[in-house]
Amino acid sequence: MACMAEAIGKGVALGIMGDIGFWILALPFLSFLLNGFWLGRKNAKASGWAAALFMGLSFALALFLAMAYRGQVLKNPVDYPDRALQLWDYTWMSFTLEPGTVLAAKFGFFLDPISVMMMLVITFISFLVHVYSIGYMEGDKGAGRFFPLLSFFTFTMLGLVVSGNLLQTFFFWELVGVASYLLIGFWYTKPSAVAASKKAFVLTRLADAFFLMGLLVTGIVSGGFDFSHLNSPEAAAALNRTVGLGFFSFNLLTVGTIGIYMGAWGKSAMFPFHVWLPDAMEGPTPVSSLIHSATMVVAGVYLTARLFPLFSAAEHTLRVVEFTGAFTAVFAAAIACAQTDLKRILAFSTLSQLGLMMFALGTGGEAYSASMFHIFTHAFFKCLLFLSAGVVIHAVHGNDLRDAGGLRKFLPRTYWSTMIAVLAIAGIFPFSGFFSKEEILHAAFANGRYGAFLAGLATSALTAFYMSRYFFLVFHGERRGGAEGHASANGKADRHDADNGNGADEAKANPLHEGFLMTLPILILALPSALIGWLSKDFFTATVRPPISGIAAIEGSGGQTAWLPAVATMLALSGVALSWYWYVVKKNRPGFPGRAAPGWYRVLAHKFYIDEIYLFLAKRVGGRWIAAPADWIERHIVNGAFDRMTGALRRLSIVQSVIHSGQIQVYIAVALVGLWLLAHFGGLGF
Amino acid sequence: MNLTSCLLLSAALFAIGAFGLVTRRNLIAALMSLELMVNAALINFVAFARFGGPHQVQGHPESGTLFALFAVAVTAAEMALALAVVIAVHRQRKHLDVRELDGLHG
Amino acid sequence: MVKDLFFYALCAVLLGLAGTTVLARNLFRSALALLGVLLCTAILFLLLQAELVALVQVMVYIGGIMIFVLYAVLLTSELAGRMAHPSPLKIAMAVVVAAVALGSVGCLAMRAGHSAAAPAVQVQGVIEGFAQGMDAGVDVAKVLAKPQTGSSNIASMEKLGALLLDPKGFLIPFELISVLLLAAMVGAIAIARDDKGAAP
Repeated sequence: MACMAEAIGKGVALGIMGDIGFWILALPFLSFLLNGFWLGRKNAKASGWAAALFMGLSFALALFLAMAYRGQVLKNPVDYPDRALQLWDYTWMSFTLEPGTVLAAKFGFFLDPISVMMMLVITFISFLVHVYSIGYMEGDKGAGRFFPLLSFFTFTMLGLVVSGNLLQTFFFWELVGVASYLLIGFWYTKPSAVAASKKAFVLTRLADAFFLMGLLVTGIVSGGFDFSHLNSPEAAAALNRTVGLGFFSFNLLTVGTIGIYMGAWGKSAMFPFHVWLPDAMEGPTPVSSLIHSATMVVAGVYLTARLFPLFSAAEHTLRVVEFTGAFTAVFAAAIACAQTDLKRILAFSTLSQLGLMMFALGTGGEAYSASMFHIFTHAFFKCLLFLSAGVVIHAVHGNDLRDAGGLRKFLPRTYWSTMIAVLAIAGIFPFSGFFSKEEILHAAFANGRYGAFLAGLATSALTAFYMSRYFFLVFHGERRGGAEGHASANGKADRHDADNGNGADEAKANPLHEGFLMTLPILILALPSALIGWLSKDFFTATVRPPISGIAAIEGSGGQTAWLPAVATMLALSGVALSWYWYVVKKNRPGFPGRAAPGWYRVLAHKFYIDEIYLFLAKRVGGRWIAAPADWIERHIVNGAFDRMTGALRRLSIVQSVIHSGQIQVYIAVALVGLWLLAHFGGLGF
Repeated sequence: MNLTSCLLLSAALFAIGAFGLVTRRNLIAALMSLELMVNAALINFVAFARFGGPHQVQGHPESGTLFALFAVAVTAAEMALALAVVIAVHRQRKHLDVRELDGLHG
Repeated sequence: MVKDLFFYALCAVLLGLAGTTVLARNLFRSALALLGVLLCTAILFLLLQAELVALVQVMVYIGGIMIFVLYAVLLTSELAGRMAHPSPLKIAMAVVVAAVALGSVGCLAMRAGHSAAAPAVQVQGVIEGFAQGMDAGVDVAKVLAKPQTGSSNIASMEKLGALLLDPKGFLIPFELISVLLLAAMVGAIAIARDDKGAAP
């Protein structure tokens, strides 16, 4: 296998690699066009298979390209010191600034360890989710719309990760936001879905406004948008000057990088921009598994990694990254312990893991590869968790934890796969999550960032606890909800059953069954969740490193951390054990700790009331003090002036219409007076 | 009695005629005001013929009176036609109100 | 002196009658006032020693046009009727127009008066002749019968006649006037005739 890979790698010329890259991007886009405008309307199931086929082809091509990349670039460190290769580049707009620098907007395909990794992850996960969706969306009236949108999303996400310049990244960043909006609000007749999609889009758009500002500052001042240029010391030096604005003076480098980071802040849902991600679970489960766990939300982390050298050259930016990441990690993990909605738990878990990835980058140095490694492993087990949640949701016709329980007997394959994923995310040896998490903690400790390190430890413990709580409550214990009835007062259905009937016949007959198309991807994903950590950790530390100039970031002294894996595993195991004790041995209900500490529990269950605070700010403060006066000015002053002017004009026209009234005497009078005026002012002097 | 007073008389008559032309609602009344204006012009011509203004026709100071004669003839023709129109209008509309004759409107 | 007083009186009457023409509410009264204006104008022409014009004024203007106007008045309106007042807008406009007219023409009048090279021609007109005769107590008929020789009458008949038929004078306008009158006749008949009648 490795020999074949080497053979392929050596034999593939750069031109062919460029073509392959083009097709990797083009296939999802073509699938979007084909299914969106024709096949999706005719036959939803066929469009699903077609989309899956295109994605499968795209994945195969991505594998091929990855192997070619390995042969071409990784084996030639002399020719490619940064392991970066721009396959093709097309400048579609350019401006020439005064001193002779040219600002160019380009569209290209850029290969680099992390872009290759992301390309593989995206195509693979997307392919599996497409297959899963064929089963999941069966019977849904809008299924014909679903597959083109999924393919469109894949295309935009791929465009984002293979971008070699910041402008293309931004372009696809916004497109990814659009795809997310369309997919979250997929069931557009549901008001909560519509509200959630708007919330996601508006919040990320707000963050992207700052992203754009930072992008423009860094691009124009440093004279270019290419990553290779921005990450160079010259660019950092060009930006590193102080600019005064009124009373304030600030450093352009800091402002620019923090501006760019704010885009990542919003897209990767760091506190306080995190509120859109739990609500994004209103979308269908395949959407949650693809977008809001494995791919789109890591775009922020990816961007930070891309500009890592520039960020590390700035004075405070990495501290901001680290702090927001660490805080979000603990914050979200705490909230997840008290949630009862299946997908919300997973959403907060995603938030928490994103926080881990982000603060890893913030600590700098070795943690770069640790963070990327965690993106890699997280994609697999998180996607698996969401897909299995989808199976559970189908089975109990609802999203609520309280309706589940005892599903181990009915969904055996799902059960074992989910167990692997839960062990991975909890960081238990030898599953994949153990290795990536341990890398992060090690790097944080080695770089001396003890605060973040402690946050990471706390997050690990909490993660183990709430994930195993989820697992035990869903699969163990007795069956709480019936197939028809709901044990919970508000059983929110994930699928909009009222609209489209109730799925395929087999689902009706036996709801607690595992469809083949849905189970297969889950089983496939269980393999990497289990093994990929062991297999690739050395590869990551050796290969996935920041560009050379970025290693100037903090290099920790190392320190002895042989005790670290042991401590981490002990914490994780104790978390698992606690939830085992509470929810399996003692057979408590999901809301168990609520009686012991009702205040704390309620705060956590309501997600620290952040949403309520935002609503209050928007309505009371924003509405009353900003929106209402602006509306008044608009209505009375702007429109009022306009209306008054038109009124005056109308009255004036009525007055002068006398002259055109057809009255001869008026005409005569006008003629005589006009004649005199002409004579008088024309020089005749009377 | 000199040129200036005659000319001022003519100006006053002209102004009165203009006032009437614009004011009067009956078509015939307006035409009569028009006649006043023509008469003012006639007085003007004759006054210049008598007193000799700054510009006279070469060598014929009396040509002013001939102008007046021709003006009377033309006025006669004009009034004939105008009153024919008045008859026609009256036949069709049964009234001679100037305000209703607004076909030029628009 | 007498002449001046007479002239001013004539002016007053003239302007008064003109005012009546434009302000009278009764159409017939207005027409009669116009007739008076025309008469006063004829007297003025006599004062200005333009006897031919005065005669023509009386014969053509009063005897022709005014009769025609009276015909039209009698045919189209009730003799005793009162006409409506004009609207204030019209009155305002008319005042403006009248003021403009008076101002501009008056201005010109003053200028012309100052720069006039008025020939101090002593002419003898009919009225002078009468005055002289009265003073001299001479028989009027005899004075009239006496041919006016020696006095250069500016507007004498011979001179006017000669000018009318002079090709370098007013011959062409004279001929054209007849064409105009013919056209006016035809036009008036054409406009005013009754279309309901069959006329090939």
